[in-house]
Formats: sequence, structure tokens, C-alpha cells
Amino acid sequence: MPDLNPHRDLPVVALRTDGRVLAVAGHGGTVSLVDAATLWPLGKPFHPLSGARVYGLGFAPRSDLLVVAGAGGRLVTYDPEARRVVSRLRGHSDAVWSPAFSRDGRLMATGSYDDTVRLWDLATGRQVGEPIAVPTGVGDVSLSPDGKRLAITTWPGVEIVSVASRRPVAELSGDETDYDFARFTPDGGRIIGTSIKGWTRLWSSGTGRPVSRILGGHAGAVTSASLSPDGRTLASGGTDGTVRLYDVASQKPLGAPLPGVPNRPVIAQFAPDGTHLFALSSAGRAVRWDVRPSAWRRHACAVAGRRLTRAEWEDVLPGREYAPAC
Amino acid sequence: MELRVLGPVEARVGDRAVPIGAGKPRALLAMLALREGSAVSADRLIDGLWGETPPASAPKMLQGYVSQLRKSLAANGDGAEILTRGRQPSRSTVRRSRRGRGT
Repeated sequence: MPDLNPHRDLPVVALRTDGRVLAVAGHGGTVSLVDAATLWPLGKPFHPLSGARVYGLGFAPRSDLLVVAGAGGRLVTYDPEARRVVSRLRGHSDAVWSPAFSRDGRLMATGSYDDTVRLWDLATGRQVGEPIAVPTGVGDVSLSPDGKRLAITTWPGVEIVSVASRRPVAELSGDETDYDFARFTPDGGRIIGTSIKGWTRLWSSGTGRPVSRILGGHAGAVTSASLSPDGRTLASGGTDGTVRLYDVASQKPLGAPLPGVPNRPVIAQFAPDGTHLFALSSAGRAVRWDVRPSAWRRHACAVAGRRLTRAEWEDVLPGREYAPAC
Repeated sequence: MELRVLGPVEARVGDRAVPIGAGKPRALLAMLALREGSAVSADRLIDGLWGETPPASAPKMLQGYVSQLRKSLAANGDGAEILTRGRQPSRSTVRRSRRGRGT
């Protein structure tokens, strides 16, 4: 039996929906806010769960309340400006993680070591319906932007569950996907699933069938992936400490991998305006890349030290008109 | 299924070794077995596996180990299993196999 977890020390981190602030969990139940542009801390760390360990963070869309999930079933909404708990959400009986939201910020889903996924009305702090039992264990939870479907990572595979009926409607084939990462794309039509075998793939969220080739290249497990807001670029982060980019239309790698911290797993996360990409790793390390085409071109020109050939242009900026103004 | 916890942790059914992995999954099974029949919370197991400064992603990793062990026990464990206690405070530990001499 292989150890699926080596080097999986992933940070618990959340990006505010405007892309300007990161919340990062630290040791001893602390949470710090970080300026997403400078990566400098904003004020002192706080203890939203009164010192209990923090296992999940998320900024609710629209309200920008910080949801903090952690040890012993603790789950709160927290006002980071006023630095106070707004509400306590009661229901889970053991460690909670993976807060996931609908686009309008009304509905939240959480996963827990108590082998349930629960849905919450964020305005009232009340549970919505009965808990969904997942006897094979909950890995990751994602809610579709319209709040109608859940993607629950379990063993094996990823189940897509209807929120209304609480029944599975499709599943991604088992053993292929990683056991703790699946996310709906911003349009809700696809699911990004990552594999312990070093690749990422897009799947139809309706049928559970793959809709892309296998996008490979990582040495080690892929632990996260993020689609750019325009849907053109997919970024994946792995236990090898790199972020890889892929052109979604051609399903080809985009340039060389972006280095992170060697052998420290990284979470890849696009900023909501698509101009920047974060590579977040544990121990408070983060890198912010400018991924605008103009920055790519500048960088490629600087590396080449001359005009780019048509082949080189196609490699770093596929599908964009050849205009190498170095 | 028989679990030997004195010396290197081993799980056996008769003469056959049950795969329980190395390192943390093996330690986890031993921790569950030592509290057989009672619930052990994620926090307590995390303390045992990682000490005072566990990685932030520890509960998900723990969940991964539990699932790996469940799979292996289902295939090879002669009826031994790791249970969830539904709405009770926590997950319960390894249950004795039906025919075995202890977990």
C-alpha cells in the first residue's frame, strides 16, 4: 500500500473574492491576513476558533465574511475588519474543512471527518436540509456556482451530487483522480480533477466524462489546479513544488513550469481578474506571478535577448497573433 | 484479523500479512486498535501522528490514511473494519473481525 501523502504539507489559505487579501492559517489556531499584492502581513494574527486548530478557510462571495473551519466540529463566520466572530455554525461533530460557496455567497458546503457533507444558509447560519452521509470519507468539497450540485471527493473517485435531491447524479471514474481535489469551473460546466499520478484533467460536470486530454508533466502528485477567469489557461500545482500552465483550447503546456519552493507542495490559484497567479506553499511562502500576455512577452524577450521566432512565440503565447516587438 | 502492536506493527489473517502501509497509516491503525471499540477524534489522532505542530492539511491527510486502511481491510482484513459512529461525537475505532482473535 503506497503512502499517498508524502510531502502533502499544503497550506490552508483563502483568497478574498476581490483578489486583494489572502487569509492564511498558521500553527496554534492562528489566522493571518496578507496583502495579496505585496504578500506582506496585514495586522496581527488572530484566533478565530479561540485557539483550536484551523483546517479550512474561505471568503464568502459578496459578504467577504471569512469562514473558519477547524477542530472538534468548529465552524464560524468571522468579520476580519472588526476581528470578531459573527456566527457559530453548529452541526459537524469532528474536524471540518473545505468550505465551498455558491457564486451568490448564499449557500455553503463543508466536509468533515465525521463523514458528512453539510449545507448552510450563510445569511442565517442554519443548516439546509439533512447532512449528506459519505461513508467512504470526505476529501474535498466543491459547490457549483449556481449552488445546485456538489462535487465530493471520496474513495474512490469524485461523486457529483444534486443539492435538491441529495442523490448522486454522476461520478468521475475512480482511481484516476486525486483523492482530495475536484473543483467546478467558474461556468459550472466542467470539473477540474487532479491526479496523484501527476496530471490534471477536465471532466463534464453533467456526465462525469473527461472533456480534455490528460494534462501531465508534474513529477509527483498534483494537489490543486485553477482555471483563469477567461477560461483559456489552466494552472496546476504539485508536490514537486512547481506550477504548470496549460492552454485549454490546444490542451498543450504553456511555456516552462514556474518554480516554487523545491519539494514543497504548492497550491496554484488565479487572481479573480486573471492578471496574476499565486503559488502558495506552507510555512508562509508564496509567489505571485504576473501572467498578463504583455508580461509574458516582456519576460520571453528578456530571456531570449532578441526578437522571438514564430516557433518561440507560439510556445509562450499560443493562439495569439505573432507580434514580437522585443 | 490479528494485529501485533508489540514490536513492529503487523496485521495478519492466519499466515497472511494484511497490507497496512508504512509510517503513518501503520501508526494510525495501531492507535485505533489500542482503543478498539471506542471513538477517537481527528484531533487526538492528529496529535498522535504529528505531535504539537501538525501540517494545516493534517485532517485531510488523516482522512486519506483512514480510507486507504479501510480499502485494504475490506479486501484482506477478514471482516475487520474502521467504523464511523454517525452522529456520535467521533469515529469509532477498528472493529473486531467476525472470526478473528482480536483486531
